[in-house]
Amino acid sequence: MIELGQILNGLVERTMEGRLKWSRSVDDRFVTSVDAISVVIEEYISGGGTRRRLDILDESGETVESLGYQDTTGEQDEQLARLFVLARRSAHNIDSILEKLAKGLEL
Amino acid sequence: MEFWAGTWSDFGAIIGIAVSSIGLGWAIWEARGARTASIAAQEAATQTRDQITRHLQVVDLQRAIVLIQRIKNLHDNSRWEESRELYQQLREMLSDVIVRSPENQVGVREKLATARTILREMEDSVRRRVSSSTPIVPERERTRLNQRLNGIQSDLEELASTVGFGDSQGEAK
Repeated sequence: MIELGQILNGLVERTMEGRLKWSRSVDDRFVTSVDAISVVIEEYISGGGTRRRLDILDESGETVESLGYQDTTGEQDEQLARLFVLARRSAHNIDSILEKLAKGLEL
Repeated sequence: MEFWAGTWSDFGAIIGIAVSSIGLGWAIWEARGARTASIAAQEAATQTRDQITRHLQVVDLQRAIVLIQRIKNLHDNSRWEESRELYQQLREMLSDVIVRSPENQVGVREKLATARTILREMEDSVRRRVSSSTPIVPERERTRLNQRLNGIQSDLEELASTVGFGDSQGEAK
């Protein structure tokens, strides 16, 4: 059986490789899809701390699995934080913007 | 006499074999022709089915684009409750397109699924706002929602064009 932790690692790897493109949703939420299955990652403030949550939606658009801070190990929580940063960078094309900036600054 | 009888018999056998061989060759040739015709008919049927599917997808995507325009108009007129109904219709429409999209149109399915998910979140955001104690949606939020709708609208327009021109992978990202 595939664990959500494995899916989380796969999402981090594919996003780092540039094989997954994320889109901005509302507020601090980002969406990507693999075939007709969507994944949403969000960051929010709760209990005085920054929390992240991953939702998986099936082909009909219903949420079928979630991974929140209360379900994760410390390592998985770090992966969620990493994925959120990567998703935001992907959605805003930050790498491409920084490359252009570096080129303009002749770095 | 016996010599001639044997010779004629051998000759007859050779002619028989030759005729049979020609007949077999003809039958094989005919069978190949029929198989080619059958394959061609199958390919033509597949192409026609593919074209019909594409046409229906383009029609559905254009209907979805019209619906997005209507939602933006409702936002502009602060008719939030009505817009929620259209959000739902729009998501259902996109779900239908996803279901009807062939599995080899991975890029198309991914873009539609992402658009549908964003629309769900926008609808939730509108619902939270109209059911809150301050149901007035600030101008900044209205602008942000319409900007997201513009983004989805242009994605769907691009998809309709990609599908219409026959890029079966829909990979024009």
